[in-house]
Amino acid sequence: MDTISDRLDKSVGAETSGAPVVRFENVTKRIGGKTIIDGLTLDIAPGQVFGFLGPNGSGKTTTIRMMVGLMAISEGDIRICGSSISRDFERAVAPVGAIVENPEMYGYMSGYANLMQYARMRPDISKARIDEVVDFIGLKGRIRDKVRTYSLGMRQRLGVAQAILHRPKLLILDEPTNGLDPQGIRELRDYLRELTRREGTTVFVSSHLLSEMELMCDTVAIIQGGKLIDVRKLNGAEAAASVHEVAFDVGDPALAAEKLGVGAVRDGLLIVQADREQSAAINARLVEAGIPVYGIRTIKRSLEDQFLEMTGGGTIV
Amino acid sequence: MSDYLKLIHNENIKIYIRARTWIMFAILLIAAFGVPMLARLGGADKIGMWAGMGVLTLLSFLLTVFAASIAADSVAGEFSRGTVKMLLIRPWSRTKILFAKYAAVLLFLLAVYAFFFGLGTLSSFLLLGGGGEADGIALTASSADIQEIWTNILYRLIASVVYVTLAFMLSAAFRSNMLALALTVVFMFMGGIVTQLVDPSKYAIGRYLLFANTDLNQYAGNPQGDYGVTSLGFSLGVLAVYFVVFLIVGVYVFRKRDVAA
Repeated sequence: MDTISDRLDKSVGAETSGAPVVRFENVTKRIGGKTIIDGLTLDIAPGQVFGFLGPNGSGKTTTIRMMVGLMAISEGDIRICGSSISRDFERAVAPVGAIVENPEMYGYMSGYANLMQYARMRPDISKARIDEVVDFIGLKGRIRDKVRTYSLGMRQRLGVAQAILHRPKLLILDEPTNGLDPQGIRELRDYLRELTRREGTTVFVSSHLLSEMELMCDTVAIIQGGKLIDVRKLNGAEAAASVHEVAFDVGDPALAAEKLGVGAVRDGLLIVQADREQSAAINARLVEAGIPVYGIRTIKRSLEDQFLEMTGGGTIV
Repeated sequence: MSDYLKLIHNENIKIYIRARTWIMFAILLIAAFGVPMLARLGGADKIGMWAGMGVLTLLSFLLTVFAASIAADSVAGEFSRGTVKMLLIRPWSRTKILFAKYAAVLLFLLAVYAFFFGLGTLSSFLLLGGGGEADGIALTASSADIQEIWTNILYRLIASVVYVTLAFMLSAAFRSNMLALALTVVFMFMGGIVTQLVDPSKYAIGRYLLFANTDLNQYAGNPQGDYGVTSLGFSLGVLAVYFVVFLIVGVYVFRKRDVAA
């Protein structure tokens, strides 16, 4: 008989080491002889919030349009839960919920009637489920009003509602924080976290708002000019093992740098490139050398700094 | 199948929830009662209900234009509002979605025909059918005349289906409802000029024009038609070919093109 911990291990294993939810296979998009997306190859593991970062015009929305079948793929393929979006559209798109750019709704219908439109296009969406989602997005009081009377933020919420109605395995959000107030952004962030944790939903978010992505995502991919230039984990084991700038607050930074043979002095601090273990070793050597250490601090460069560094800054519109 | 009916139901809601649809019905209501009323006020109350119906059939272009405007908006409206991208990311192929829309448009065409000629029959009977006990239907029209009226309406319905399909195709191809409707209306009313320029009785190619064949009532008095070179079967065949071509072009373009709205 399985113990509880056995079963937990299995379920966790199934979620984290499972087949990728989305697989980009050398995806290329050309429009009128111009290459918009160039050989994008990328796997997205299930159960995480995946950020898709890039400056304006880098191909984020084009990629999303190809993921949901709104645009044809010129070369390569995108597989969602194993099904090809170009050859087996209905099966591939079934586990997907999405907002592509702005959530456009039928203004002459109520919010509820809009949701009913999408509910009818799926099997098994109960009235109770619709009510639950409406409650969740906080539109209960206005859901019977015509959408043309909604503010941008309310439309954005309704957009989220139509995307999550069928409990998608993959939720694709294109610039989801557009038009949301800080409160709404925070709620969205918390909700996305909740979705990945509770229902194992994989969330694919595109944005050019770096600080927002940093708070929201587990992994980010960065594209520029239609090319994937980097994929990195933001939190977790891999991030901890990476080399950071570490600042040592020591008695005599210049002497310390000289004794160590590495590092530089900046703002009265000794700055060294080191990972966690190396930091401890440096500390030991400083103490051995009789240099007092008052503090050790890892300098986390913000995603924005890293992003600007990678994309060369100037190309960001 | 019931899932597919839900798709058609969605499209029906989009049509009937809008005020403009009900304005169309209101206009038809006024026309269906107004025309027999005018005939009666003009002293023609003894022409009988079937003659009144004959006058109403002349207004069938209204039904075609109304249904064509719904058809023109059906696909293009989704693009202009941007809702098309919400619609096409559901687990239904583009072809299935397009045919659900087309089904709703045809149902609307049938609805306006039934509404207009249903009301027209009633109003003609009430206003022109005669008031006296002896002045019944049978006295004012022979059953052959009655049959002719219904055949006339059926022929007009067939032509309407072709024009509405044209509007629907243009809507799917150009993604602009104004352009789709304008072109359809131009096609409806420029037929006479084109068939004068390319007279089917002089040029063989003329007989294959859409315009030479849309008026099926030309065979009511003359089996060879207005130009003496066609027949009812020929015209139905030509219309069927146009109908199929319109649908194929509409589906092809709608399936193929990228959605960037």
